[in-house]
Amino acid sequence: MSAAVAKLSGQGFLHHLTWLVLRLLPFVVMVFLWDFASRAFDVPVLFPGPLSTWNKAIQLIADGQLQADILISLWRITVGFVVGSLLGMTLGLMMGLSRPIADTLGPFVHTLRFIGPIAWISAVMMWFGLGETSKVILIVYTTTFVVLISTMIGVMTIHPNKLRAARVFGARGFRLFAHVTLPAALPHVLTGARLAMMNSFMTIIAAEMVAAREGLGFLIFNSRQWMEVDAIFVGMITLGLLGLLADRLMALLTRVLFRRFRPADA
Amino acid sequence: MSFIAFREVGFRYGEREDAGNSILRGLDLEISRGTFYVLLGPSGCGKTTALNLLAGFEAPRSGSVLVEGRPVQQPGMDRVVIFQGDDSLYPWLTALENVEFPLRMMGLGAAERRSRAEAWLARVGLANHAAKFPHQLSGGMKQRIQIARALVCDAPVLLMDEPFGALDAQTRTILQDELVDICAGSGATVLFITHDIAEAIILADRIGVMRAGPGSALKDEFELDLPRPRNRGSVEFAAVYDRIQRVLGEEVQKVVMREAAA
Ligand SMILES: Nc1ncnc2c1ncn2[C@@H]1O[C@H](COP(=O)(O)OP(=O)(O)OP(=O)(O)O)[C@@H](O)[C@H]1O
Ligand SMILES: [Mg+2]
Repeated sequence: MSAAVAKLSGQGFLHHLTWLVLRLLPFVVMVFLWDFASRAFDVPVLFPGPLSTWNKAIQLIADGQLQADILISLWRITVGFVVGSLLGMTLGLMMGLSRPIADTLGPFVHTLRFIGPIAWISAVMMWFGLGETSKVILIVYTTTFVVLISTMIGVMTIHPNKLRAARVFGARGFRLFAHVTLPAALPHVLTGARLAMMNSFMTIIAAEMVAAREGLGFLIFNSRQWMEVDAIFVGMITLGLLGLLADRLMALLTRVLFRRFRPADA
Repeated sequence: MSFIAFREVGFRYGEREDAGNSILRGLDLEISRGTFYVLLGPSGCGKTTALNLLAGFEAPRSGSVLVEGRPVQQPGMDRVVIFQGDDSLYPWLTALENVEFPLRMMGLGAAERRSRAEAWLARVGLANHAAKFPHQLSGGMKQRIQIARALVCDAPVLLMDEPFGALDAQTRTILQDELVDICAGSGATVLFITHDIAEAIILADRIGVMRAGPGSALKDEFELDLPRPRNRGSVEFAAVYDRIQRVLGEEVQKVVMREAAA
């Protein structure tokens, strides 16, 4: 029995292979269901199967269009995400640390965060046009609020005894902040950043659908005009895979850079 | 003038001013230098609250809390605290780094920090766990990190809130004996909170029993002059135990009756 357990929980090559297969399985099942559904629907133009979607992807890659769209979308997300995270963290720390600031900004922040980025697209478009600025601003906006809220909660929920102990040992002001407040809140900041990453992906697509000439959102939206459902599928699948990649990358970065500050879920 | 003094101390949380809201009322308590003072009392009567006042985490609403005749203004290295529970540990620091923390705040160099922290980790039996993070340690081990972190400061006053509450009986006995040695050597003044009468008798020079709240104060005090080391099985031990049990039991009974009535 112990040998069987060892086999199942072992760290060997076979073990990793098993897990890889298990994780791929839902994808494979999905592709089969998709193929079946597409055949049943029987209007390939409206509902192309996996194979014609794959061919379309090859074609888009050969044209260089898919790579260009991916790069531009990722660039917009990255800039907006980094700026928004820093902004959200700063504001969240301020609100978490100071009751007056939290009371003053609280209602404003909670109102603004319900006016989601999508609601802003029209106005931002008219002010900043179809260029990069409008997209980046929307990503910054959506990231800021998510990171802000979770940072603020992170600071507010630090157990008082952690702060009291540090004060016993003479920590005050900036040293208290740097040695206790910030590290204690960091897991919340990281969790917020990870959620914000997902929001960034949703926002960029919406923004590019309405107001862009390139990017994955543009690819998805524009293909509708030409009835290229296969291209729409390529855009959607690319989006999902990029999201998975970004999420894994963030989890990995968190583990490597912030090993000590593991967010609750990683 | 006694070293530590609570004079007519009143305290309540929040602003509402009714009798049920009052935690401490007219608390008078004196601890002379070098005394190991143990505070007993039913759960929720205000022991931790009294300790918080002496630590400087809270300020009394009335009366005063004095150390060497001066009112306590704020927390400080002269009154080191061992907190109830393990929330005061820093999960992002290893056991060793947690113990080093106060020394880092004092501005000591890395080499001295390390050697002093390592020595204390060894004394509480965690030499082999220095590199582990708190979440990798058991409840009792975490408590011992806290003890090492407090004792590494060499503070003249130690405030301990049920430091052995979460330990198994064997480890508890070992650490009690160890604490007796440490305190005898250092001359520290200790305020020690516990629910365990036997622990109180092993450790204390003086024992104070608090009333059931609200508006708690000291009900009775016992001077312990049993010779050390104290034998948990001796007749004298049992006699003292019995006297304290009667006083404390009455107060615990009050709380139980009130809970049952509510
Ligand atoms: N932060 C707080 N806000 C409001 N009430 C509090 C707070 N902390 C404690 N209390 C109340 O004050 C009373 C005394 O609490 P305290 O923690 O001092 O009791 P204790 O004697 O240490 O109890 P235990 O032995 O269970 O630790 C309790 O009735 C509790 O409900
Ligand atoms: Mg308590």
